[in-house]
Amino acid sequence: MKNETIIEVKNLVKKYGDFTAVKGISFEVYKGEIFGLLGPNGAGKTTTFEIMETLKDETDGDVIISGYSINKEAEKIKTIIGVQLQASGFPERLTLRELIDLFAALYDVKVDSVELLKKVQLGDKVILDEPSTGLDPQARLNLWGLIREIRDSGTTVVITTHFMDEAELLCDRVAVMDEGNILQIGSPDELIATLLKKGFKREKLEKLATLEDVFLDLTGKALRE
Amino acid sequence: MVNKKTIKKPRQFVAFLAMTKASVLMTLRNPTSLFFNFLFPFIFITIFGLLNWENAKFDLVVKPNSMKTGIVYEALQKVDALNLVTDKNEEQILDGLKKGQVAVTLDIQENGTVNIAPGVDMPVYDVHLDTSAGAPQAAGSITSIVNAVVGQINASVSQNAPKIVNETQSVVEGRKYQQIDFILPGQLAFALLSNALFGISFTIMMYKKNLILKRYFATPVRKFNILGAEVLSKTLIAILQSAIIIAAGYFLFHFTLANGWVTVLSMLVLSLVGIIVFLAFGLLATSIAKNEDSLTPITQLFMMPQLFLSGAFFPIENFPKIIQPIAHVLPMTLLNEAFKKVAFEGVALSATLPQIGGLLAWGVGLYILVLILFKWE
Repeated sequence: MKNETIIEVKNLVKKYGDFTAVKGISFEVYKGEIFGLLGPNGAGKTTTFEIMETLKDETDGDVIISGYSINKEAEKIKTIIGVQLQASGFPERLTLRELIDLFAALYDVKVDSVELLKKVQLGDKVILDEPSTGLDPQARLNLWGLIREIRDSGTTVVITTHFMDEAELLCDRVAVMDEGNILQIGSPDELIATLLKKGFKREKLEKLATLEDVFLDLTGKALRE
Repeated sequence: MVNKKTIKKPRQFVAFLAMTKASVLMTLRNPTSLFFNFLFPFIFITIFGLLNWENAKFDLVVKPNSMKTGIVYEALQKVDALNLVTDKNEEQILDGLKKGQVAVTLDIQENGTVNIAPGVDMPVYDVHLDTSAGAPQAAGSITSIVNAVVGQINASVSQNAPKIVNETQSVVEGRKYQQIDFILPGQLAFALLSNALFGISFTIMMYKKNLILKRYFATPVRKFNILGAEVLSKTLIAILQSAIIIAAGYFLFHFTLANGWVTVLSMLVLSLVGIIVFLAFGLLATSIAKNEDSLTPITQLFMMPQLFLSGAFFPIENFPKIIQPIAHVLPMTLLNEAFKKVAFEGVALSATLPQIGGLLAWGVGLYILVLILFKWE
């Protein structure tokens, strides 16, 4: 993978009154990768995402997406990114098809509404805020497949999750964040290697299968209604 | 170094129309809004149509040059059910007769004397009643009261003597008005006001609460297009609502359309002007309200004064003199008056320009306030 930067977060700061939610973080996302932003609740992940999504104004610093700055060219950024908000609503009493047509019109693109996938590929970057929260293991497996497909079709994906197994399997690189700061950035394997170098040892040796493997073996991988 | 991607700018009108369509579908598929938009006005109209107005006094308008003394006039004055009106001039009387607002006029003239008994002469009175074809029910009631009074006077003087009161009647042709003609314009204005006010304010509040607004913000749509689409959608629904109320008024209650289709179109144009102003009240209510709980009282605050002072339910003339000038400039009053003028009096739309101008002035002021006060979060 040639490491062409497509998203650049530079010294990003967000203050709510006296509280500083994001304390001058910087990271880069390369074209065509799945990038995970990890951290406990209140770490500042969603705030960072909402600034990248142009939904919130930054207090200081900048985010450059495909060469456009969120400061000056928010409108253009909105056009080239696809966004899945952690919490959001849709107009009531519309069919899925009507909703897709509506959102296609908002981006002024023509889509075959039957091809749902195209909805998430409106831009060539997708930002996903805890997409797997509340999903059962089958749906999560299906979502991972979908996210990889999006990545393989050339779309850059930025994602947050609380599930480390998900981040480890899905993300090409992750950034670990807490209390508004980024602690470490790298591929899951690199971060694990760094930890082991410090002399970390698990109390119990890893089992060869997890409970999730058992669950999927017993209930199958097929997506449920 | 990052390559700047060339971006095709999304056409805002495509987004605008799509949001309008979505909003119209949402409203038409919502049973609650369907009820309030289309069924509720009929319930009101029916209730007001069935109200019993029988106990009211009848106005008998006395012509300016009529005698206001003598045995006949004094007898009519004593009738409880009659209210003798003496402050109208010829022009007002004729206009009132044609419009059905004046049901009957009274003209008493002395016409010589007649000898009813040896040595007893009595003045003879000619009593003439003009009745309006526009108010057949009231006219019928009043003339029968006058007939009875005249008959009593003649009978009381002498069984065999010549009549001392000669009564004649003539009918002034006018449009025939039904009670619905008085009720529908005010109810239509009321329906437009309440649905605009509640419709848009609660929709925007719901958009905020359910994060639909946030979802829209994440797309390239310009903020004010979201409001614009909502205004257009609610306007379209309101025009449909107007058309249905007018049609039902015409077919079910025999509402008078003075000039047929021209009247219908004039009323729809007035509805359009009215709804745009009323929607501004709704947007203002969402701008001021902090949450859903405070939204209801604020919308009521905008609605109640207009409801009671507009003349749709209670005649403005009955209010204290201090309140009357305020009542006359309220948007709902202006719309109600304009509706009455085109539907009831059959005047051209251009004759309602003072009302339309007043409404537009309200609209400009209100939308400026909305632009200043509206909160997106």
